[in-house]
Amino acid sequence: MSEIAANGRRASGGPPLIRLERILKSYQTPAGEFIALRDVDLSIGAGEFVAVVGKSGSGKSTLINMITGIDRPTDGEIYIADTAIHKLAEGPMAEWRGRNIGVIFQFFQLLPMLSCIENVMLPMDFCDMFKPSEREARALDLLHQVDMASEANKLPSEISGGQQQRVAIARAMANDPPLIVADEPTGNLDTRSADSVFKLFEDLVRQGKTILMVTHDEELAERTSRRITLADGEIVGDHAVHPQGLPQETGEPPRVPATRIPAT
Amino acid sequence: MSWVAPRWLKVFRDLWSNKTRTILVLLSIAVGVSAIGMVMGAQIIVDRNLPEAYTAINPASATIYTFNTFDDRMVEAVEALSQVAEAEARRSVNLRFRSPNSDEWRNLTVTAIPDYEDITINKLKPEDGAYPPPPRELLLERASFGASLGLGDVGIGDTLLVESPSGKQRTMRIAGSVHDMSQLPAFMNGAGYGYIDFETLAWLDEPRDYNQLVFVVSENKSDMDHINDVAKLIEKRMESSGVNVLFALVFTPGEHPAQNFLDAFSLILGGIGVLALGLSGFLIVNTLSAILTQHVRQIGIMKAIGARAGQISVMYLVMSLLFGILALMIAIPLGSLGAAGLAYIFSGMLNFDVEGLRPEPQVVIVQSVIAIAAPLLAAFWPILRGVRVTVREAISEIGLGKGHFGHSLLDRILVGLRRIAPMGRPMQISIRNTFRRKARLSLTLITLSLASVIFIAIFSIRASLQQTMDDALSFFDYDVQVVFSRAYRTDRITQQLDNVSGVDAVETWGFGTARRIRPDNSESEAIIVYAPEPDTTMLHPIIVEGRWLDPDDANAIVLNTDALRDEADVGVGSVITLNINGKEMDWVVVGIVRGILTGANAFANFSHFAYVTNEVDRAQVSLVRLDDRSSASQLAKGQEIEQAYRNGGFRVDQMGTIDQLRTTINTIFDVLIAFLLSMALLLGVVGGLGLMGTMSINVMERTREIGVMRAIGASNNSVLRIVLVEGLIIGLISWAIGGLIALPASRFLTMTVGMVLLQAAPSYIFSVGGAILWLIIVLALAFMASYLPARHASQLTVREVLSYE
Repeated sequence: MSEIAANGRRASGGPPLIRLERILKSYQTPAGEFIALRDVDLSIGAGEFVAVVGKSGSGKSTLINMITGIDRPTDGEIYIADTAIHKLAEGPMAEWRGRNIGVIFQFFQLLPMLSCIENVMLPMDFCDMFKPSEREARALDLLHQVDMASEANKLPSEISGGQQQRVAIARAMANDPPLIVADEPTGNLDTRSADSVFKLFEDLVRQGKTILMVTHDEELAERTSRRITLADGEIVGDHAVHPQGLPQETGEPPRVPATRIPAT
Repeated sequence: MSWVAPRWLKVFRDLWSNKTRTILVLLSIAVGVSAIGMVMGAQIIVDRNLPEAYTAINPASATIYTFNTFDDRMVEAVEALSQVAEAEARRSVNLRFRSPNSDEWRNLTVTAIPDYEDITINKLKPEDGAYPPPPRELLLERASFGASLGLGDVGIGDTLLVESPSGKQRTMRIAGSVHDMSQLPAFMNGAGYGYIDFETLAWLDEPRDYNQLVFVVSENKSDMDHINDVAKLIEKRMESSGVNVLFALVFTPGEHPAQNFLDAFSLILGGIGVLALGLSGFLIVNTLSAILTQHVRQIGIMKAIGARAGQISVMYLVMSLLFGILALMIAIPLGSLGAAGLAYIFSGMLNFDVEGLRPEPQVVIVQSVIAIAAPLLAAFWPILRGVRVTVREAISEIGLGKGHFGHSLLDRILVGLRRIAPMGRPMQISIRNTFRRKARLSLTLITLSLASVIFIAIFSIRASLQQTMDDALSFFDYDVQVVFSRAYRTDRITQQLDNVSGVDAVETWGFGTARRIRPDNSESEAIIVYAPEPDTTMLHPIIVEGRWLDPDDANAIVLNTDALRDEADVGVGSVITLNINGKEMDWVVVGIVRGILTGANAFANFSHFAYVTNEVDRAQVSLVRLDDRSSASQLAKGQEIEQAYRNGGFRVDQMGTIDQLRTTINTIFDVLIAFLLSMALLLGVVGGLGLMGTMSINVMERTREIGVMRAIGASNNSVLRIVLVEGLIIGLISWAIGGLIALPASRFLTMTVGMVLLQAAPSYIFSVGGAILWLIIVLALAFMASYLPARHASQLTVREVLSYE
């Protein structure tokens, strides 16, 4: 990944997948105004595996919430591909997010009353992606990819935390989004499970997905392709970790990622 | 289930996975919808059956009761009037009877009808056994076979020892039973009804003539004014022939005699049905809000993976719809069953038959609309608010502190409480927790407070009705009343009781009916005239204006407020003309007294009234006050007094005690109150359900907090106590609010029920006892409603709790 420049553009000169311009996010608290993000400029190219690190309260979660559209900037602009998501209303935003971003949470957040496979089918159902007759097969295939096919019909409460996070990853992949955003995905897992989940992310990047991951785990952050460090709402570090790109297990070059994100 | 989209699976499983909550919601909806179904259904069944059955007996337009008897010629004369279509005469006698298994004499109103095969007015329907009554045997009205009337242990074929007013005792066989819808139900009359022929009447030493005339007007049958006019015409005709009319009873055309009783029930039940529905509406809002609150995180997740607010709204609306449909499946049969049960109770009380007990289509339609619309409407706002939550808000809700506390003035007051009233930390937690979810608390309080209002109001209605009755009964301050068949010398009446022990005082009063001849020559309604001795101690009138009678008064008269209702031009000092026994005389109104459920009354001095009625020094009524005024003494002494008169050769028509009268009225009131109480209890159950829902949700929401408390040393009992006390505080607050609202509400409801039931404003008292009883009930309800959630909370392990999401 040596071709990644400091501004996040690929050396090939393609447009960045994610572009944040002068992002300011502030909250009004009883103690006065709290600045969560201050004048943040950031570009992330398609196919990157980015780790966002920093201490608690540094603005990591706020940053990825800006990118997923979960939260809105007080000022500044955010573009994912050509979509100005800071301008999207809540309703179109939900649908756009469902189709284009796979979100993974620290606490897995599977719906407890649905089985694993049903959880994976749910985004397809909401966003009307894929034919209804194909959804179950696709969900099973995704579960197979995360090695959870055998647990497809179990409820979340019947499987371990690590397994739940695998299902959550499969769910994030349900609509085949080009971008996956994960907030502390391994924060609630033991080392072995965390490692296993991380390997899944590495596979996804090899398949051409762009992954943005908040983590506290320095060791995991060192295994990504780019590391962005935040402190007090500002980017204080942004550097490539693996200039040669992620280790190739199959020997194939990274695929050209899909950038299906439509302009709205 | 792969053919069902996951989002709908989620809806179904949300319903299924939390069965307690689902049942709670279903019950909340079903209670209200069933109540509406029950009240509406019963009304329809009664409205369909009662008028039909009542019309079938060809009810009399009016019944005229007379003091002395008349014969067939009078009946023919009345029938010859062009305004009269049909007329028939009967004789009604009050007998005493003793059943084979009892030593107690009871009263029986026996009617003799000339030709049982040719009754055209107030027709009887043969039920069991013989018809018509064989000579020297009697038929009983089917609703008379009741323990409260002394006929609980007898049946057809049994014999009764009866005693006529003349003292003649005969053994009579009960030959059969009939259905007589023209009479007030026996339990309201306080005595059963019997039927005999005229041969038997003579065998009982009673004259063969009539003392009751029933007639049907020939035209304008449903015009009450017209019927009144015709009744007055007949009365005049009878009085001019020397028949003294006691009074004419004109019922509202086409309406059963006890229709006002039924109306009172319908009014109250309708109100309670609507209230129950309203309360269940609050419950639904509360529970669905709570469900939405619980689901905030799930809503956030769904939004994060692509669900739009509209899609999520539809999911929860469908859930509400399912609640409604499922509740309807409970409410239709339950409401229908309740309607049948209620109609059956009404039919039993008012003595008519009901048929065709089935779900009424119009009721089912109304129930369906309510069951489906109510949850949708109730859910609309919570859903709208719930789905508006942003993903960030939803998923950032981690850690402790759901339900804000500490910002409002109330919160600060609660925090300050500990300085005024020192209390343990767990108690402080309970108090503050109570006020954390203020909207939820408000809805729970509304539900429980309404139940409190209704419960306390119902007890106030009961107390007020009893107070009204006490007022009425203390107006006439005697214990035993003996009515003779004719007038006797007053000194003889008094002396006859000289040897009866336990008698405090005996008075003899004149008694009669009068009509006012107005300046325009029209006649007023009948006014009952009481003529006590001037020094009477058995009357306690409440003077509204003017004065009471002086011993020197001659043609002075005191009227009660009921007598003035139609005589607006009359006041103290007015000179009015009264027609008493056909004699028109002028009287000076010297005072007005408060009327107490006794209709239009006038009071005159005995001596002058006796002179007017040609009964100088003679009276037909003996009133006795006893030393021991207890109910047992009244009954025993009453029978002894009656026997003393009979032994002295008096023809006793009727003996009654104030306690018997009180019991009869109480029976009527108690039936009404029992109904009201069962309805209040229903509201209490709804309130309890609401509280249980609130407490369950509170506990569920605070599971993590409970875990923290346990982690820092809270025992099972501490956790249990914190939750239980919170429930009890809510119960207590609802009682206080309900009690405050009940103060004006009870008065309003008492007046409404009183006006419908008694056609007069009752005396009002607030039932403190009812308020205290409800406090006990509401605390018990709160305890029961909080116990399960509290127990659940106390049994959670720290590990379970802290992993709770």
